[in-house]
Amino acid sequence: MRLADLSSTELDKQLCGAGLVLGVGPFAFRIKSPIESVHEGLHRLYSNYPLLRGDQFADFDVTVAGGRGVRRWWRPQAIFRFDGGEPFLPLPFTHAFPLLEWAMNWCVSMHVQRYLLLHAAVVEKHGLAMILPAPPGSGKSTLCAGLIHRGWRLLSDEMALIALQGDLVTPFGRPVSLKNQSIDIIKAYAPEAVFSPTVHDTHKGDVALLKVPTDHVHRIAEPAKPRWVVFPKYAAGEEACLTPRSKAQSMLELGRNSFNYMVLGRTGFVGLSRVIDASDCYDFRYSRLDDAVAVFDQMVADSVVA
Amino acid sequence: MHHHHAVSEKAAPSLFRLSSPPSLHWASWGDEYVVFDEASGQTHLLDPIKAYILDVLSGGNADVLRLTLLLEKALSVPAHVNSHEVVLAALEQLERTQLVEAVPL
Repeated sequence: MRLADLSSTELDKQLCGAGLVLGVGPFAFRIKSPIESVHEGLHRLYSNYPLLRGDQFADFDVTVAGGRGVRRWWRPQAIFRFDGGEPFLPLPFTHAFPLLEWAMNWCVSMHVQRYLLLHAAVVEKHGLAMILPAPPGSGKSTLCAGLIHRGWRLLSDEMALIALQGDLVTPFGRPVSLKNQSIDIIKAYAPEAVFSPTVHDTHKGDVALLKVPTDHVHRIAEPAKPRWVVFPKYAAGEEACLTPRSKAQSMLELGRNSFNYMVLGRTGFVGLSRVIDASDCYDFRYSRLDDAVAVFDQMVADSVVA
Repeated sequence: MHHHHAVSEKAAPSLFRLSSPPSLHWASWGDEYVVFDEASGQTHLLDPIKAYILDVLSGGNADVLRLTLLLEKALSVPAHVNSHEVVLAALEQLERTQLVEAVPL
């Protein structure tokens, strides 16, 4: 059963009651929220995700609720609750749906130790995964959103889940978070794409979430083999330029940008070195999405021929 | 101010050893080496000289002279390079990252 199979009334009932248990890749989230924008966001962006039985074990229990007390009248807030606590500061009520997304990221990044978690987007073609680590502002999500509308499959926009046995990347594809100008860029680049309403003035600026294409969700249990680690950088007006990069430096950089490399100790080191063993590493500067697609498609073609 | 540093005391016939012998794990690509020190949880990027010194010390303690001779034999050190100085500099950096230490006399 998928979320789309629920009637709107049933969806509201579960979210306001015992919780909606949603399967997202290898994790189950029990989500509770009385907030309408959260209901609408889930209905619009998660319609193809599997719905699990209400009594099924969930890895994470996530609640996004409205604030209490008089404040809810004059400056309503959205609050994320997890395990009896409130890990984040309250946000404006209108930020409730992005807050749920950030909360889901937080749950995985802070608690999961059965994967090596790298802060990176991952896309796949022909079974080969391209890991795109990058700091905020490098254009990672824009690039990722462009690629998944030109034949690449989304494994994750935010975090690469590397198996500790073997080196496969497990998909954890969820809506791609686009910010500011990137929203209009992708709306123009992929007019068929489905978005959440844009939420203004978040701590990241304006944010809109992009729905994951249906067939990518259907293939969410299909892992991929790492083949490339590419550090992208949007550089206005520049021609696309792919430059080989030191594997050892790339490993250290990925380790620094991992959520749990230090915690995993030797296991993390072995896992990460396997990823680097299997991957060609590059720096990539670009200004046009079509150029990036052409360059990456060529890398796949070369790799498949080889 | 007195800086106590074993490597900088060139005259001393210091013997060096790994700081935490059984806890090093390696990965390498070409002439780049990455070593993970399980004791500290730190990952270090090493050039071939430092990697070689660490590898020798994994086999047992060694002094600067022995490390210099072995390095000259193992790696093609150009004639104009003072390999003794190279070893001293490498040891100093390896000490700073707590991968090696001078054996107390």
